[in-house]
Amino acid sequence: MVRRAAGPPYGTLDGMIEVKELTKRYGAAVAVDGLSFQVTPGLVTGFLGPNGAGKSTTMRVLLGLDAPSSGEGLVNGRRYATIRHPMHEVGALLDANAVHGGRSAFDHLRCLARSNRIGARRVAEVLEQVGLAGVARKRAGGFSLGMRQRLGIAAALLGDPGVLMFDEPVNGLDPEGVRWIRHLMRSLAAEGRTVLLSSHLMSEMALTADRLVVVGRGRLITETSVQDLADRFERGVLVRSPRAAELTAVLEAAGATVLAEPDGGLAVKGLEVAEIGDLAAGHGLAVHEVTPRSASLEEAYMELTGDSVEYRAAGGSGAGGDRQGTGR
Amino acid sequence: MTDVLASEWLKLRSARSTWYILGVVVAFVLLMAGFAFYVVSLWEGMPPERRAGLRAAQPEQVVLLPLQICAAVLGVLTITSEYATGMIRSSFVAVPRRGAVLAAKAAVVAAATLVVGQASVFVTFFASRAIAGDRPIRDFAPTLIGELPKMLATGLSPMVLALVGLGLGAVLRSTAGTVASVVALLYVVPRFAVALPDPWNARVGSVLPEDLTRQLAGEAPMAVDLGSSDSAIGLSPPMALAVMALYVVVALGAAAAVLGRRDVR
Amino acid sequence: MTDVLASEWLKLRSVRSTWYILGLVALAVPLVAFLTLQGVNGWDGLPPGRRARFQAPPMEQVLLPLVQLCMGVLAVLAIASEYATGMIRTTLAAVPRRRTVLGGKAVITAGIALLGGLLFLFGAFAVSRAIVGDRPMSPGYTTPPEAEVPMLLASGLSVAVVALVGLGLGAVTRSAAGAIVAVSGLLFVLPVLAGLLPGPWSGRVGSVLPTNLAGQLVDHPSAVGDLPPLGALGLLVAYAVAALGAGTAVLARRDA
Repeated sequence: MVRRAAGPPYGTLDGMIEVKELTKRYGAAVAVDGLSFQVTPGLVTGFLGPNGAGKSTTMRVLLGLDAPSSGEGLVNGRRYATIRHPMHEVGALLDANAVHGGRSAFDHLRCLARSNRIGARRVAEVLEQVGLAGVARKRAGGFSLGMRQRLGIAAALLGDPGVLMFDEPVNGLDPEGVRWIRHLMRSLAAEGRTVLLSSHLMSEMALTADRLVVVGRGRLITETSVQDLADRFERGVLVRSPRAAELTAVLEAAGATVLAEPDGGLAVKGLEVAEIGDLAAGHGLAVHEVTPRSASLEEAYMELTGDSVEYRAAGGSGAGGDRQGTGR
Repeated sequence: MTDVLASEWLKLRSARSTWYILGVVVAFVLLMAGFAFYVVSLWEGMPPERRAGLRAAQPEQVVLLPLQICAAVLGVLTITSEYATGMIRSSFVAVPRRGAVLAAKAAVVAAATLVVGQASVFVTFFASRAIAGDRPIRDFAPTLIGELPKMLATGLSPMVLALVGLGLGAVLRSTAGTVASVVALLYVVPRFAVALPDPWNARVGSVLPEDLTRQLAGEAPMAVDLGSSDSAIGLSPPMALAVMALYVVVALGAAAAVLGRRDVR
Repeated sequence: MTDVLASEWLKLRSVRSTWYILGLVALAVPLVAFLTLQGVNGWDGLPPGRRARFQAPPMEQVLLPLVQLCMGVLAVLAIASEYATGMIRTTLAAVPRRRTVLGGKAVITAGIALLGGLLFLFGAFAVSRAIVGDRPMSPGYTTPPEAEVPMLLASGLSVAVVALVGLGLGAVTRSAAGAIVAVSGLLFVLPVLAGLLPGPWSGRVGSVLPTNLAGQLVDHPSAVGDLPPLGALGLLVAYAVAALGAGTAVLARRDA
């Protein structure tokens, strides 16, 4: 698949998603509260947050389905609703169940395709691509959730768009389906497309996304790369030694912080595995275990979304104020 | 069973559509009060010798028009909205005795429509009579005792339609399809019946909901009343009641049969 | 716009409910034949002296409300089923110009309603006239057939108007049940209520109801009400415009 030059009027903004000071209220409830972030081409950006954090609302505003209370969401530098045949520029999967159950998969896609001047051959192509070619003539009402997710992804891919948004696409997929999505997202980004992928599961994002936009209670918690987040929540190296006390002294002398753990292990921060090994060998201290505890992203995420104090101390960009913990 | 009943009552109470439907009925009762005021002002404006000739519909009978369709739609939505949202799966997982679920829905819907039906008829009656005061307006003159059979019959028929709607909804599972079918039964079929030659117009008409209500109150079918049928066709009040019951039994029986046999999608 | 039209046409074609409804409309023609045959049998069995009292309404008019209801439901479903399934969000993401979406649906459903309505009306008219033959059954079967063409055309137009009203109400209520009840209220309940009103109001209200506008539009002898043809036409258009206007306003303003 070759990335199609969609040719938006603002060349430099090709493939950009921009959310600017977006606020969306439903009556008294604030779903999105002054949210700003950008999504750039060529990467998979994970849109991460607990249930009810405002991810879907933000996507709905970006797709022109909901009107923002204030602020705006732009795709390729303009409001989605002003794009004439938007499926060529933006593909989206919001709710896999949003299909008329009486229509066949092929007819469903054909209806959408025709409204954006996309031919029937392309419909057959995407059905093939998502693995639904065999059931194309079956009524979508009989599809499993996994099959509906694939149908929704097929709809997003119809116009071969440069910008793609997926809301919780792995819901209901089997392990093989999850791997397929992961691969698809990565290859779409590798082709130079902009991919925004929402999820409430850090474990999934860790494997798929390059960048993360983390939100909670409608506000931005942090915008970061997966690597940076991992580094920021670095737990150090676990070291076990029969001569723990001596080793502690040696490591601390080398500038590390060492914490004795209840089970006798040492949590070492500030030194790499190799440095610890060299120091121990140099001092003739036996070492039984040296394990880098590359941060559990899941824990990092819990901390980010669950505790606003921790988040401020971590020094991320964006909102502050009286946001309360939403994680569990 | 009381648990199932309580649960169905909660479902009915917590659906917004229930309150919209009730709102329509209440609005109509108020409209009938307005109608009574209008008739009174008409009567006041007439020279006394022409007042005896003033004809007006009886407000408590006119209320039947919205009551029937509202009750039927309430019955339909009780079951089809569960199919539309997938709630039906949760309902049958929570209570696997599908017959009990259907029976509880029927009981709750029947009670609600019976109470609302009778209440609207009686409230309309008393309101319009209060508005008319002691003016001897011909169609407002009959006493409560004289009108009682007709009013009770009118207040009963919404319940019958609600149960028919419920049964039909369980069979068809589609809101649009079932509502359209009920509308056809109430408004379209009577038109064919009228177009049939005598005596078939009266025969078919006499078993349709509207004429059943009339006959339950001891009146003749519409076609006979209007003189378009010469035959003395008509059901006695007990027979009319039996036919009404038959509607309910057939509709709910069909519903019970398909619910028991069909997979829940 | 042509893309949206094509897409909406595909949508309508690819669901079963459309074909059930059109099947029902097609069945109305044999039903007309059956009812006419019953009428003819009744007429033939009467002694000549009593035939003058025999009421023979034109059968295509007797079943017209059924066809109006069918096409009204078809149009309601064109929008309400999208809300029921959530498909509306997919639709509006594909075509963000919401007026165009509703416009496309309006053109397609009104087109089908007009065409289907006219096919039914002319078919039913031809069948019932053929069955009645030269029996002077009044009032429906004594006029020359060509004199009825304007009434048939106007009735076809009324079917299209009912469909547009259904579509507009569907967009406003977003509920199949609500919109179908509203359409049937307009078609069936209001005329009865109007008939119950005393004095001049019965006629005044009756004459502006959509069910009575076709007759006044062509000044048919059976017409209820005494609006001038242009007034009746204006009202027919006004019903459609009002319903679609309300539907557009709601669709454009509310979050999908």
